Amino acid sequence: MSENDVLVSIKNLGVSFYSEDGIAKAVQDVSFSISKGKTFALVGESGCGKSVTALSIMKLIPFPPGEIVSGSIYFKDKNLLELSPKRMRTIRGNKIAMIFQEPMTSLNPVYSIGDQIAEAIMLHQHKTDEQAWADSVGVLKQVGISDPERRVYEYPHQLSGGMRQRVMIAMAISCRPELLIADEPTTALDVTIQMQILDLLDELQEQNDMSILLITHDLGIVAERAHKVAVMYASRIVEIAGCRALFDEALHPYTQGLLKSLPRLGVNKKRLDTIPGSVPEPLHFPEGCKFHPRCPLGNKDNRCRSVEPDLREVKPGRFAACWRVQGYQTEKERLEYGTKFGK
Amino acid sequence: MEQNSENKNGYLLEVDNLKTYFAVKRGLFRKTVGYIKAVDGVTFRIRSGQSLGLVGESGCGKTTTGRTITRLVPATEGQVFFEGVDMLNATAKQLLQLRRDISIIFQDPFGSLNPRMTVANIVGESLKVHKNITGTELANRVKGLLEKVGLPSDSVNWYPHEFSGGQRQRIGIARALALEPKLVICDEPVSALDVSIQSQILNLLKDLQQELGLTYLFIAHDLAVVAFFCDVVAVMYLGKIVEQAEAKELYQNPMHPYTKVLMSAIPDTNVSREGRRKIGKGEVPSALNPPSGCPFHPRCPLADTKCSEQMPMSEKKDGEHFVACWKCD
Repeated sequence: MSENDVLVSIKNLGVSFYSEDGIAKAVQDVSFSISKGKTFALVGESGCGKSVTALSIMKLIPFPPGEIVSGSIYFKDKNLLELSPKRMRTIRGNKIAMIFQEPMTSLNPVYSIGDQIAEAIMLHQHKTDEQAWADSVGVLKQVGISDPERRVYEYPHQLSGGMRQRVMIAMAISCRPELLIADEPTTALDVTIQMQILDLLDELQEQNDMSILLITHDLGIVAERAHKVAVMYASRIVEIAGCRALFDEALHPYTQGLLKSLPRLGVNKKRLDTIPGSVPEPLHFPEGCKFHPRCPLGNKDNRCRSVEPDLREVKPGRFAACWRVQGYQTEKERLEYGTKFGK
Repeated sequence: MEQNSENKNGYLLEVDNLKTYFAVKRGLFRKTVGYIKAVDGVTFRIRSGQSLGLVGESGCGKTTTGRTITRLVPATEGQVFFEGVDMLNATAKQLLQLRRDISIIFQDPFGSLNPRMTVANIVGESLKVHKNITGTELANRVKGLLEKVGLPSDSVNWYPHEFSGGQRQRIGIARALALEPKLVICDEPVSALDVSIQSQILNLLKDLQQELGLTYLFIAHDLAVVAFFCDVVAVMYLGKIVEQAEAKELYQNPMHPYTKVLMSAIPDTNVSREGRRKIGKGEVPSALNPPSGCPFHPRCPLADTKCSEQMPMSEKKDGEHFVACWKCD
């Protein structure tokens, strides 16, 4: 993959939230890049920092209490973190658009859906009222809403959940963004509707050569939709891999645990495998590797308990943050480990 | 308690042609203009010690079925027998006993626990009300229940907000088990939980079933979860059960087109971008204005004129496999 194919490149992103009880490091040292026209999935459990990462790209972290404390986010050749709010507004909703989890609460109930879609078109593309309205109808048709000429006049409460999510998508793609951030786009929907919405996103990606940052907790969706995956746990990325490679052979113990704990159709088991314990809270992260208290390998390992591993390339195209993954330690570290920690 | 026909064939719960309609009222005089047929002729039975899963998409009536059985919602028609007792016509005294024998675990671990009550009060309330247990005995019982569901026993005086989502669901389970029920209705018990926690709770429910001989009515939208957890699975669509079979049989040999759609819509980690299958368009129609004939016919790839005119009856195929479809032979 050449450098030119990269649309977004995030390096060492750190986001903290300040509260009376202390500083919560919601995102730490997150680096990844999204290629043009591809789907990059960010997967993890609630509270792992995946949504905060997405909001950072949009520069929508509320300040206070939140603040982006370190790193850079390059969108093509511009570092978004250095842009003025005014410049950022020309990109947000225009070049980078976002769809949210809750189609019920993300739409304004007192405006017709046509008004809401046209607003973005008028703002970003400097079109007249009529043109924007015509575009709204067109974009509704594109997302598969039947009878769009009538639907533009309707209000969010008149639509079903799946329809509302389609409207959200219509709004997001109305300015033909280069990057679409989809934050749990189907979590509130039924499985059959979920499939339709994901199919729609795929179609739009192909038509517009759009990159998608797909944020989800559902590994099944990731397997079926993503080109590349990053797994997040407790504010860090613990593994990055090509989609198929990850599901064929997960390297990090957390990823392995997640995959094993899924109930699968057609696999008869008396019990499910589990990951013991629960996700630590940002104010009380354990020392060392944050996964070690729940890890089948790291429990007894001194190094896992005291030194936090960073993300490294362990073999071509595979990144992991775990002392116990083969190929992770350098020769120097192995020697140090022998002397410093004892076996 | 009187028991006519001592639960024949070992069925703990028998639901026969259950219907729950909600009246839709409009206008100044609240005139009834129509009915939402939330549950429309549902029939199933659960053997003692087994689990039956009710699956379907939102609005298909699975939750209302659970609520009607427990009489939290009045039934319009039909019969429900619990250990041979007619639940829908039970006397107040019988109902009191039934309330002890049947309990519910709710979906939302955040909304279903009173934030102003301590865990001891939440779990112990029913013991106080139904069994008149107080003082040290109550405290011991509560501690025992908490241990059983895997919560630290020193957490009795904590409030719900001090627990994580998975732990809160454990509190809900402890509360449901307090009166040693025979039947537990689990209404989407894991859908609000993270993947790694979901498997812990499912295992816990299975262990408790073994240990206490519980019978579950398991309501969920996730077919993979239900297929793992239940012995028998019933698929609901628009207030009707369209297919019912043993979990393994249903997975290996799904007959109803809706079941097939539902199964292929589950995202699977074994499927890649390239190997994905496509499914049909369309959404679940409104229960206020259901389609004529078979409720699935507008979305069904096999539908013909007969399907749009006549409602197919549930028919027994091989073994205990029931399907309501004109096209399944």
